[in-house]
Amino acid sequence: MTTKPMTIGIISLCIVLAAAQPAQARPISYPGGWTFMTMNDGEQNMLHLNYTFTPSFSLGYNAEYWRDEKFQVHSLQANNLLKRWNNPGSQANVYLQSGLGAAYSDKVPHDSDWRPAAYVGIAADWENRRFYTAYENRYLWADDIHDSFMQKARIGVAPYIGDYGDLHTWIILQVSHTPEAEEEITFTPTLRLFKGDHLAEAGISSSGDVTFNWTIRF
Amino acid sequence: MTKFYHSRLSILTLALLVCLCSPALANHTANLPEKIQAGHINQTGTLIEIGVNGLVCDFCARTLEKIFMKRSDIAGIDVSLDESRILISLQDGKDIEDSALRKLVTDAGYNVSSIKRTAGHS
Repeated sequence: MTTKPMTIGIISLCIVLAAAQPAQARPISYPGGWTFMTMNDGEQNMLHLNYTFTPSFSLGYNAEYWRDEKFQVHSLQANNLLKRWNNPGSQANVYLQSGLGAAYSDKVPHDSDWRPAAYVGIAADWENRRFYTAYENRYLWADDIHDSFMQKARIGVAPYIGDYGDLHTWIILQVSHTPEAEEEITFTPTLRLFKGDHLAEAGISSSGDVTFNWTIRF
Repeated sequence: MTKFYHSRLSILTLALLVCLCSPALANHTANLPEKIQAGHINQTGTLIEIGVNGLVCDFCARTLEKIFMKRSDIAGIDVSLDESRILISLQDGKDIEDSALRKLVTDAGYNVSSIKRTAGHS
């Protein structure tokens, strides 16, 4: 009799963990490649699956669930690499990320309502093999369900430098600014593990929320 | 007497260092990795070393590996983040022009800094 609730719990946990904030890892792969990303933090759970058409463009499905406000957004998301700087030993990128879809809410005053939704944001990063820094923002509009702006900045350092195929470790500090949230500014020390096609991150924010991100390319 | 021992010690240390470094130097000269990450090294085919700018992480390395290994004229590839280069081993009798190599690297999202060829390195 306890199997069913346990199964539901495991499935729920998987759903919660299956979420994505695309800018945390490069949202464009190689032509013909797929990328799946998840991100979960104190505010939301997101997932993103995209297909890369050209070295500077990928298109995919994005789903997100905002826990406090109890609404979902389902959208088609376009990722455009606006500019890349390839230098000896370092790389920098600027991306435009935009999405169009629908938002769903059953929180009062909404009654299983669907509304149009759209968002746009810029993501930028620079890294060499020792240091990493990134910034991203996003404006999300979902009619009378939600309307917000958020931004994040990150800085990271690799305690050792590994070659291709080794396990790469990064220690990252993330600062998030979410005006809509109870705690407007949060700090999240994060540990990133990176090997081959997999990138995983885990951290605990200054408000006590657990962050978990995972990216896989195939 | 002490000076004599110091001199001998220095000479022995130097000899030991030369012995230890020789295999590394030989390996560097041969330009072959100890193991290759995808495919195999074709001992009788051309070996091409391509310096790549922007090669900083495993995602970059994997991208180049997959792009190059799609081609039937490539026997194997080795990517080194440490040296910012990829090493390509071609099938017998095959060659890829520099312009085609540059296009492959550019299409993967990176830039070429140098191209060096070694024909039949067995």
